[in-house]
Amino acid sequence: MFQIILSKRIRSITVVLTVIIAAATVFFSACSTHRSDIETTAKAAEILIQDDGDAAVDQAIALINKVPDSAIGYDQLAVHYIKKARQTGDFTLNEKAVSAIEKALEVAPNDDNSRKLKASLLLTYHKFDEALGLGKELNQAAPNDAFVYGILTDANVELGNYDDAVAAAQRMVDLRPNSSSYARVAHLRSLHGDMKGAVEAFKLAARTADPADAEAQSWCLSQLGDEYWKYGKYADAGRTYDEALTILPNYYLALVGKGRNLASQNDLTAAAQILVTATDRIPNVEGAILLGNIYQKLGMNEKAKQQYDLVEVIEAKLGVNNDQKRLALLWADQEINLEKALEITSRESQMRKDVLTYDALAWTLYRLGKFEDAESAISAALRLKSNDARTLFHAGMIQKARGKRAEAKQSLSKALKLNPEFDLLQSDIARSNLLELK
Amino acid sequence: MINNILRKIGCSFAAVALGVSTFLVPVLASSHAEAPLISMDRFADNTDTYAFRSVEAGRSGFVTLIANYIPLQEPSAGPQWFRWDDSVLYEIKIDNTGDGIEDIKYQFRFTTQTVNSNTVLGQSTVNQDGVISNLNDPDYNMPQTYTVTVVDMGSGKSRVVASGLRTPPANIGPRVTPNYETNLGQPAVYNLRGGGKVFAGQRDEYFYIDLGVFDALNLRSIGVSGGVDTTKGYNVSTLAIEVPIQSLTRTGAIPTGPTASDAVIGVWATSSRQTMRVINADGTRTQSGGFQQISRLGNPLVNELVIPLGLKDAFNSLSPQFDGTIPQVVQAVQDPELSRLLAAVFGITIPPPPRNDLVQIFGTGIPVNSTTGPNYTTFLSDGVAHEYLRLNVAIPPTAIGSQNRLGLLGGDVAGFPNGRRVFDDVTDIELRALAGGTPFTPAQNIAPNNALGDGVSFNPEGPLLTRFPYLLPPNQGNQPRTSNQLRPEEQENARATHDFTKIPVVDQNGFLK
Repeated sequence: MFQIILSKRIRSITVVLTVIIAAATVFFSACSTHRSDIETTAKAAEILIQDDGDAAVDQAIALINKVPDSAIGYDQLAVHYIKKARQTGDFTLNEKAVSAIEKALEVAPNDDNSRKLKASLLLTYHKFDEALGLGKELNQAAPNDAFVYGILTDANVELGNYDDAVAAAQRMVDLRPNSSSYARVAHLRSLHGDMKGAVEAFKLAARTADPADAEAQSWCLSQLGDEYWKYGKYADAGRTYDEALTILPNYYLALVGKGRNLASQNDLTAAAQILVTATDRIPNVEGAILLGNIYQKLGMNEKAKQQYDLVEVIEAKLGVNNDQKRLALLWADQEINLEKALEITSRESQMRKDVLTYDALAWTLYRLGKFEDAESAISAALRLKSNDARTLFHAGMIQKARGKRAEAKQSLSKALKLNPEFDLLQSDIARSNLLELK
Repeated sequence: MINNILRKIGCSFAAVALGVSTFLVPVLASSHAEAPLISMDRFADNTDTYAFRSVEAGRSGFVTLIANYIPLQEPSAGPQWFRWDDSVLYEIKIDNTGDGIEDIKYQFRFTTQTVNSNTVLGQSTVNQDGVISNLNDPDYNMPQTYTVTVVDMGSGKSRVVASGLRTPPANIGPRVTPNYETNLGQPAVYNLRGGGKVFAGQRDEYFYIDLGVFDALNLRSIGVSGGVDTTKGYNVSTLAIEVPIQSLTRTGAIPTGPTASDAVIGVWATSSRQTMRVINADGTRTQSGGFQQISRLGNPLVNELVIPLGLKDAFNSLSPQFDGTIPQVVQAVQDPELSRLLAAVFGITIPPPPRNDLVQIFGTGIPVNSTTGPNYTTFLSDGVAHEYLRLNVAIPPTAIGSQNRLGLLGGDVAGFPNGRRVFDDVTDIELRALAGGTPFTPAQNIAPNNALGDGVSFNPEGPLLTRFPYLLPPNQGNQPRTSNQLRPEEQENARATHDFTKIPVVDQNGFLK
């Protein structure tokens, strides 16, 4: 609500303001506020982003024309598109950001801001190794730059270098305790199975997010919702997603979370409705899988297949550089295309050692009957004690197949105790297998 | 449905295919785990710090300290409007010994209450008649209270000097907050025990500047008029506290004169947030930890103009105690990039590095010397540079009608860089200082070096209040900010208030004639 009103007001002054604010970013931000240039650029871009028309972009282009040898105008365009991509969920907008940064680095190859934004985009495009490499270079040049520790944290999390990620996040939050660093602390705590700590940090991250950045606030709240959901706290999760949607209506991450949460509470009609809205706004894998599961549960197999096919279409469009393990997991769940699924998870596990990749690898190996390999993969997936019900379910099934009944019983009960309805279809399988073990 | 989606994907990728970029493969990412990285921390952002001898009638024994936060507040930013952040520790710090370590600090902590949470209206709602007519009105739906704590670092004692004080709501508009200043603004000024006053709330952003001046030095004007006040119509959040002179000095007494050893104090403001342990090594769980400073502001514009990019996070978290020990900081002051740019753009000669004149202004204070005369000094240093405002509390204030916006450069010894009054035109003063257009570098104290300016020489919203907290009431929110250009009546108002058309003429010492 706040955002909508703000944006209406701001729109009317956009034209005057953007020129001035944009100009100001050359040396400092308005009103003698003093943050790093990326944040200054962000401030200008925030005002730009309020306006959906091309006029906003024109302003940035005017700045580029004014100071063509400077990266500043290009950086501003990039920030604009990065934020807009996050806000709308339309990731193709990142492509425009990439193009702006390429140009920035052409005119000013050593521009620190442009390089930081490039590192951030490399993360967006799942080029974690490259992002880490660039992050390290930037860190060497400016060892007290909190933004760069954010890059290092994210890249290391994705690559499964958790000790390095924790160290980087600690430096980041010590240098600049704020929404960005709190959110990273929260994510790491969540991965380490510290629900209380994660909830605390996500709440703080949401509360301290820039009031003019609705997506940042809603992102934190969506993650908080996911954290509640992970522990089966469906009422808390529902309230949190609704809060996120109040701040940024139709935010697809919150919609997907809300849909998943409603499905867990067996409100399938409402869940389907919301997920249709979410996937209609922006096609996304998670939403399509959830919708497929709902249709399958309702016996609407044809419609379910359409959704599952859609997942494949999206992933095919995305290409091999993207993380396809969600598709591999879907195939493993469906017991189809198992060789292809294993190909994906094997390839992925060559590139990164994170717990989710090992989980997907373990599950695809299990489905192909490679129980011994599956067991070693699942132990890597469990190494952080993340309390992820799906991983624990996979662990239980693998342990059962290996004849380790006591362990299997423990894993399956833990999964179902943590999040009884972690998956519309798989949690039933977990329950029936647990019954067999009793 | 599915066709619709597929069409969307097709469209998206058609668009990508037309793109020019090559260094990354285009994707529609399916997972989106990264937390926002490009984000602002507006609530903890210092904008300006002021310190001056009180000019309100009958308050000559007091010093006013003002710390502004949360920049560029749109007056119509409802329904939540801007508020103080309960999780931020806001502080105004005083060093009276010159070691860069605070000896006294004033801490402000806020608590937000909610009268009725079952509303989307936020700060104001119709709990009674929908009009907030006083600070305790039930329609003030999300009032904030605050606590002021004074910490004497010498004894380590903390003293809560006020608590449960209410902040005024935003100036929502004449229907919800009628007679704003009478009903809500002025009643939010509280008396402190010992004779001081305190205020915390939204005010008009008085700081005036044409940011176009920093558009690669693309000056609209290099004089005192012709610029556009970029901050016009915006609000800011103000912490203001007025305290007796003797409560700030090293000796605890009123100094005997401007050159007495206890006459100069250092002033800066900070904000801090709680840091936290990500993961404890022993597996135990810790929640939030201690406060970490994330923003500081002493002298205006130093952080923006002088501190190199890669150092900003560190500088903002740094105590002034360590400023002089960081070579990049020292070098940035001794040879500022902006000075070199001024030289390049205007073809002017600037003083060669090391710029000890700037080190004095920002880092050590100005010693007694022939230029400023025997009764002027802002020197406060243990021999190392510490960046903060320096106020000589023994120099009497200049009466409101006689103040000169150029402070010392205008012959007004009660103005910047002797402390900083809200009225002072720090942009012009600092541009001139960076160009060497001051009496401290006589060779460059010539036109245009000593006549540089951003063309904005006053606050178009009107002159300051003549009473604490001096800053004007916030701009009201029921209409959007209008153009930054002055309306005719504002022009008139400005002309009547300050003779901004007059180009200052300086005497041989560089002071305004």
